[in-house]
Amino acid sequence: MEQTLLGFINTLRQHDVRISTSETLDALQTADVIGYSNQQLLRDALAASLTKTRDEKALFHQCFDLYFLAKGERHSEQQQTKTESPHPSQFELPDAVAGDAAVQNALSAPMVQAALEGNNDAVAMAIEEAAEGISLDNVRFNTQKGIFRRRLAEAAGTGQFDRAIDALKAIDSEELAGPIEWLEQQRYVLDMAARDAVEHQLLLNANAAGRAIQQQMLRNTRLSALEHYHLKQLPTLIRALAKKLATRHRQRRRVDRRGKLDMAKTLRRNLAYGGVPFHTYWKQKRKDQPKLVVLCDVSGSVSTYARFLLLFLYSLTDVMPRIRSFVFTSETYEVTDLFERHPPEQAVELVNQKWGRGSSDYGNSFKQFVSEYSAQIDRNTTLIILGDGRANSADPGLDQLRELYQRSKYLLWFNPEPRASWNTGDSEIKRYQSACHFVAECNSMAKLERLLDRLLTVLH
Amino acid sequence: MQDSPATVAVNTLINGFAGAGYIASEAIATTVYLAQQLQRPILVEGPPGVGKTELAKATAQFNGLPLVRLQCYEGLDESKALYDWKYSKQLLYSQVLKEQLHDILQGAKGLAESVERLKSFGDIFYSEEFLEPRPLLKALREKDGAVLLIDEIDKSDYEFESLLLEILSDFQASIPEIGTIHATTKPVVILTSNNTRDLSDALKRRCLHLYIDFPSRALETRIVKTRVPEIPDSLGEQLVTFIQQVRELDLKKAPAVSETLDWARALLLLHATALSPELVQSTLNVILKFEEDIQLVTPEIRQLLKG
Repeated sequence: MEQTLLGFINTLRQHDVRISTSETLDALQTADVIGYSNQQLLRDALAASLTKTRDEKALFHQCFDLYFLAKGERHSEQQQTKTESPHPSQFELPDAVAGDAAVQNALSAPMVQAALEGNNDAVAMAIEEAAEGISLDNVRFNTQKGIFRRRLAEAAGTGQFDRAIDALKAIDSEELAGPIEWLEQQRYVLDMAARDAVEHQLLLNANAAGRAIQQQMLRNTRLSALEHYHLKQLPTLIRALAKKLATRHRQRRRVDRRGKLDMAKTLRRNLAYGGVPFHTYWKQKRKDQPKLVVLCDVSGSVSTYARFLLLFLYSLTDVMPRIRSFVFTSETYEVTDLFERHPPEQAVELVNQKWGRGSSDYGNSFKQFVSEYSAQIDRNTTLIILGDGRANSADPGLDQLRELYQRSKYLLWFNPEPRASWNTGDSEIKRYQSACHFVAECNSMAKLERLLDRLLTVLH
Repeated sequence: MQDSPATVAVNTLINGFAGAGYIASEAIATTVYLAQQLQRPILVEGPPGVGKTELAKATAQFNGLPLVRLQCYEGLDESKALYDWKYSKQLLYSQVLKEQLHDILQGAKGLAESVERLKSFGDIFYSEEFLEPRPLLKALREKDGAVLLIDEIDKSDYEFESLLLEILSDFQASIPEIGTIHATTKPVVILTSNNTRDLSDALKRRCLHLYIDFPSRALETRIVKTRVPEIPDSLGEQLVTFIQQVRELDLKKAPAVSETLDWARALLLLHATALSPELVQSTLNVILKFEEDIQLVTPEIRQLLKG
């Protein structure tokens, strides 16, 4: 049973539930305390000791059902096929043949013997043992199915049936047709059990290995080149990346907060204690709270990037200052409220639904932004603009951008176009560049991550 | 089938909690049972108002243990959570000592001998006598054990989480001047979090994790009946049905169990026997705490009451 539990933990890990060794020990202890008889209880108890977030709990329940219930079903199914298969009593050999040494030898092989005795559990047990022997846990891809099935079947003992069948065939007697057919059926049952076991294991392992490769790919590919299917998986990746960034920058902030002793204040306040410094006071550097404002182009061509920039930023709220976000196509709208009311993923969807169409009018949007919100931009504000800078040959709104540039602490422009196509066609990015502190190319997750890493360094 | 000892124990817990006025789901009871068996802290997460803090209170009441509560907030540190020195008392003693010092050192020749004599007196100032125990230390020193509730751990700083690790895993606290203080009887530790930020993996690893969601309709009806027993059955059911539906809407803050109970009590005061649209409208502010939410729900009231 311990082995089963370890196998289960392994499966959980492959589904991206993070389980440390100490938690594994906890789980074993848990199972000891709770026992295996009440499945519902065991499930709740293991969930408490193995999973540490709500998402992980959902995954856990899914895996638990898949792993334990499927195992149970497989067991009973096999027993059913067993009872349907011909009963050992149908296996009758003429005395002359039964005495043959070669035949006797072949029939005494353990699996064949078990089948002859009608031992129903033998197949399941042989498969379990064989699975461990050939490390079935390692099956990762669909393409490996064939080879694992063959190996498993062999390890479980199909060879023993083959030899028995061969031994009978060698005698070449018509009377033996029945027994040979019976043996072939037994072999088939074992083979099917092997197939089911491989498929079940594959189902448990599925995606896990593929996912690692995929994530690497997702990070480095240009977002515009990604298929719709892959885009759906990005939020998960973003969350992971954001968590990593957040951890790194949190540590940095801790160092900054350490202060110097304020001698004068300490002495003054401790006069009452005869100058003995019972209370200490620290020099504080008053640091103005940095502010972050994001202005995203959500017109057709760049809306995907806007989505992921917003998603990324809002996944970083732990270490980011308060974010105000705006989107524009031909006009500017504030969307901060949406993000406060909904989880980031949902908010991003809503933004896209509501405003994500049409072509961008930079001139008008900037003008509106400046007239309505420029009071929000001060020397503590970092303003990020996301857009491809293609003004559709209309007014680029450069004067307004310059005003923002002068008011803000930093004005950063993230351009999702590859650098090579900047300044081609109606791209105004070169002129915009003159009114920005920094223009960066950001068209893959890896680049976005790097940019935000630097942004956090600047902000703290 | 014979029930396993664990099943029996969990059922006892559920009944015990019910006696303390807390209706626990099976998952909750299992986790508490496990925490007591494995001596692990429980980290309880969930939306505000689903009874996370109540769980600690019920555990204390059921086990007949004192409840030691530590409310977390930004800036909470060692001196407020674990221990502090009684400075004023130390100061007073130091004044007294100054006078005594003369007597003690009388007859001592030279500095070396004076120092030697002083040494024999040990470290008086940093001894347990001057130690002011704060909640964490108090819980460790409770002779018969205690239920330690660390409330809203997500509100504290990251540094504080690290401070907790020693207590959570080994039930001991290190005080540099004195040494390590071990728990007399290991306390039952319950941490709650509203998930406003991610807690560190190190902390999570040491805890059993329990997520309490809004209760199901049946469970919530039972909670209402237990906590507000005077309420008529039909009204109780109607009210829970209404609340359950309201939670499905896109609200800024969904009404929690505590709000359901408040509402039930409010309706009782108004001598209501059934929900009517007018009644709901006039008491909606009991369950919804944002103007936007009230505006969102108001036009739906009739529809919601139909079920």
